[in-house]
Amino acid sequence: MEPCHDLKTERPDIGQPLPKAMMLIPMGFYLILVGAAALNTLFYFQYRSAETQRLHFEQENASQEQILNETKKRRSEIDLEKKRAKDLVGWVDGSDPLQPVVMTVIRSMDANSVIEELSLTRKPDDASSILFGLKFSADPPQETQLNKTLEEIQNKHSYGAFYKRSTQKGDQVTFNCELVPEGTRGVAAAAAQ
Amino acid sequence: MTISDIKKVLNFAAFRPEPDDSTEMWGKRFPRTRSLLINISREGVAWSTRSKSGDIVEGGELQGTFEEVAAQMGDEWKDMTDDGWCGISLNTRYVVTLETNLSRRKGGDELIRTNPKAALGARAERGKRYAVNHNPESNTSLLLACEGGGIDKIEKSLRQFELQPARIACGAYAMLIELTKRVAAARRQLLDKNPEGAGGSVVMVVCCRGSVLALHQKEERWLELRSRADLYQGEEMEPVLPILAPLMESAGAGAEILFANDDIGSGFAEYLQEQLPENRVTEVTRQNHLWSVLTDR
Repeated sequence: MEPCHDLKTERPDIGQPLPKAMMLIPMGFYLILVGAAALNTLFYFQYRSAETQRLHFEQENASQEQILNETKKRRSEIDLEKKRAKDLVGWVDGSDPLQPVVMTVIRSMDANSVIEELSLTRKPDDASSILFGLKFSADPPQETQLNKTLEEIQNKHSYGAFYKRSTQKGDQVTFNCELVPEGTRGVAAAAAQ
Repeated sequence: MTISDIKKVLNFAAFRPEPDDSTEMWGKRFPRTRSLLINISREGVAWSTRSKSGDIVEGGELQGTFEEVAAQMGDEWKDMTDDGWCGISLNTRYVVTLETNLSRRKGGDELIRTNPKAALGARAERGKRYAVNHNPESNTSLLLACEGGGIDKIEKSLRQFELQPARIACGAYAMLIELTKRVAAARRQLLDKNPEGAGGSVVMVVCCRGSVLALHQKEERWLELRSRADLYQGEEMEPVLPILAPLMESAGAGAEILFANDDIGSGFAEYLQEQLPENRVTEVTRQNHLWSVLTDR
């Protein structure tokens, strides 16, 4: 079929349509637009999902941090407890040889004498020697009670008392000395000199 | 390159023919756009709209000259078209003649529009616009001549209302050309089946809004043409018969009559059959025939 005839005044600059192959340009443009829109939508949903996941992980992280802190706190408490227990074990182990000495001191006290403070400390540089400290109240003369206690220690445990220092305030006596096993007395005496 | 050029590429308009490129089919020039179709006769102006889907939507008709009707309807017409483009069927101030031995050189049809003097020689008259259609089987041609001044006036009137003519054609002539092509196609089919079976006479009668064109074809030759513009009014088509009488006389009894009207429902084919019982009348009118031909449907 041919187009109908035409009598109108012709426009001289009528151009030819662009080649059909060039339709790829606008089609490509629209494809890119559609693709960009699709990608945008995809990225938007992924962003939303990632944001939700981030919040979820942040909450998870916070709860885990809290659990970790609680665990650390508990662990430090346990460590402290353990240290205390070790110290106690050490003290028990360390004080085991001294306990008979303590019992001897307690038993040597007369009925009217009162121990106010008793300390037995091993010498850091000589484990066999003990730094002995005793604060007590007793009826006068207080030297009787002190001598009795030192004698009991020497008789039952073979510890000799050296470097004796005592101060008296009323009927209260504060006494300090170094208890040295009798086998090593010569060394201690030599060292004392 | 301007923004409008880029816009045309993006909406694919740059890949379609320009709206006023008369060498292209109407459907390619105006895809999915409404366009206004106007028929101009001496007595009045009729119009319709071609919808986006290509259907013809009922319009209206007013008595008066084109300028008068345009002044009254211009704004309404503008609303009936998307981009202001309209097709005009001119059924007045035209002459159709049967010519022989017109030049059939390549590009001759275009040349007759742009430079009729060069194409027609002494036959061309100053101030007239021409269209031609050649008989493919003989040396005869149908030549349409229209007053150029009348066309200029129409274009000027349209511009006042921001309307632009996409096509100005003679409706009756276009309908006759369509008929001749149908006859030629039918002849080809008959000749393919039986080389001697496509003889006989055919009288093609076209009635279009008061104008009549009748062409007598015998075998492959166009023999005689009758053309009258503004012959009848409305559906009163009786004045057509006297115009056909000499043509039917020369065609003789047994000649087939092929009739086309601008729209269905005229009843003229039946009337013609009653008046010419010795001839077989076949009506090929389809709905909105004129508008369909004007828009290459």
